[in-house]
Amino acid sequence: MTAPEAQVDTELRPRVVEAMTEVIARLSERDGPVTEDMDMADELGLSSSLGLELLLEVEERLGVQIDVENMRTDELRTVGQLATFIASHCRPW
Amino acid sequence: MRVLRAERRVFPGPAVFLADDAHRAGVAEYLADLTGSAPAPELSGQSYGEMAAALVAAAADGPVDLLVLAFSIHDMWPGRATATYLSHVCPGTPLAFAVCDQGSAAPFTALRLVRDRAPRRALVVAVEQGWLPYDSTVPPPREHRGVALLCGADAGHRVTDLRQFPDVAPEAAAELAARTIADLSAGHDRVRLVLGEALSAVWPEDPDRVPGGQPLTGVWWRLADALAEPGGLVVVGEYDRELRYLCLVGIEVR
Amino acid sequence: MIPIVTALDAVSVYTPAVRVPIESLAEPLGLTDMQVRLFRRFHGLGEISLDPERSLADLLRAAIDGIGALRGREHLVRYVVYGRAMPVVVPYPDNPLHEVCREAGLGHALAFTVTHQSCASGLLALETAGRLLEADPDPDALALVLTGEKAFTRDARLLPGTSIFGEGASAGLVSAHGPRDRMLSFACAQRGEFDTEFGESAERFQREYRPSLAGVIREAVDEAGLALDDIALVLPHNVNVVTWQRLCLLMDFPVERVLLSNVPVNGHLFCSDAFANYTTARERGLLREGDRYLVAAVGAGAGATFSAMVFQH
Repeated sequence: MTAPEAQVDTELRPRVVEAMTEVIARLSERDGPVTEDMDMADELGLSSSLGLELLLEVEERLGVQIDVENMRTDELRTVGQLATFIASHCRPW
Repeated sequence: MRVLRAERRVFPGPAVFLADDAHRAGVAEYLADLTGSAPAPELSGQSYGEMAAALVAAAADGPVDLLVLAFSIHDMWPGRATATYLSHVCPGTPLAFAVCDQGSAAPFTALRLVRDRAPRRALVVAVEQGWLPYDSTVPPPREHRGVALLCGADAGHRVTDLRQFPDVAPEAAAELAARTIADLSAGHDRVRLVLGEALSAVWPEDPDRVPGGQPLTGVWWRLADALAEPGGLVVVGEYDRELRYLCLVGIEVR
Repeated sequence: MIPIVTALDAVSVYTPAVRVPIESLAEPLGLTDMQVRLFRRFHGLGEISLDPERSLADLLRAAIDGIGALRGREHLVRYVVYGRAMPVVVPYPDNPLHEVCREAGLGHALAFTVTHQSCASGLLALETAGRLLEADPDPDALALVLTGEKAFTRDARLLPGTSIFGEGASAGLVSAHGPRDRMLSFACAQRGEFDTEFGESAERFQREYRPSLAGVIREAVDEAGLALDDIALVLPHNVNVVTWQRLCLLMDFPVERVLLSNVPVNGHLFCSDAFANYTTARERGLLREGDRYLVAAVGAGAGATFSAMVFQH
């Protein structure tokens, strides 16, 4: 059962993507580019604890609070999917 | 409840896992935290996971529903959820847990808990290892020994009765044991006794008295012999002086 | 598992008054600043009860003293079952359980510890007490279920990436025929394949954690003849908040019905969380007569046990 689509903040989303890709590059110790279609667990090797760290760093960088309570992690596998979720499920800190 | 068979083993030491430096350092820290002292440079004792896994492999005759590990002195991997590990290596992935902090009464309690749950198949595994990285007021067991009792609902030697008496003073133990043995023996022509050292006053002339040195497994070790000899009632009894538990169980050997 | 009738007559919880913020544990536990921030932000941890001046016996004693219903009825207690996450906590042959029992006038009871199910050992102790009473011919017989632990060694202080342990103890008086709270079911699933003997599998464990817990919750609810929606309240193991948020999403269960307010206050009290949460639920009037509620516990740390129990208030 999926909740009705929340409104994506189109101004925020690219900033979320930028923050995510920088943080992921550091956390996953990757050299190559991080793109939106990449699977965070399988391709980028992000464990669940690194996943949480990613969320916290994005929150702190952008000064937002993500609605983690409603985050269905099984449905948010790629960088792009998570960016969309964040851009539609957060509010200013 | 019935006892199908008893498997027993002496184990050499030290535990195999202690050969791994990182693992040994980890348990050494835990063991040191028990006494608030520095980690011991060497560890020589055994692991109940290793001992019990071997006993389970020998004793299980198919899927098991319940596994109860009974111990008193701890082993060299004291933080491990050993029974949960055993659940995985035992056929049938049984519900598994350990009973402890009860001295030599623990295996009797384990049997009682099996009886109360009435599973189709259960294993009671009593283990004791004989090395500690600190001085203790009670001498450790002489050898690393374990006994596994395979219990069942439908096959094996019938458990006639199991009695546990808490808070029995040392001076009262022999008399209470004698009365209880007489009670358990009623109606049985042939009765064989397997009594721990602390109960030697009950039947001082009993030539089969279990020698000391293995407080937890001693009587169960001897039970394995008794089960191999057909006929009559076997009464296993043990008294824990420190914790004041007198325990007796009657098993009708076919 | 054959259900038995067991009633929880009275519960007492004790946590030492000395509380420290988790930030102060960063250095002793070797946590980075980021790890502490994560624990606060997502895990919901805040303060931990930690009192080096109080021994394990002190904790157990305080919990037993808190059961007013025990006074004058000590002679009826036939069994004391202590459920403990850390299997070994004192040097051999020390025995704080029996020490405390004698002091409390319970030396006549059969007392022992059940363990090796990690933090799920408390629920096992409760179920075991129920079975002992059921088999006891005396209908007035009582059992005392104890939990309580000290954060005395690294494995008893920190569950990396998951939780921080706090110190506390609880005692519960159990009867076979009491009017409430009655145990309706118990489900337990053990995953010994997560023992370290089979290699490091932290990531796989994280992935399987929620489905396994969901499975055992469903099993307990089924066995009680109920549907998940019939559960008015869940008393979780207080490992952290994010696990329960995600579990509720997985199970489509409202997270508002999960009592998580003790996580920032106590941390994870080993096997005592259920009783601490029960006490809070009673204090806040969150349980009305007839309400069905569920208690869940997961024992982790090399080998895992998932347990759930349904009660009627």
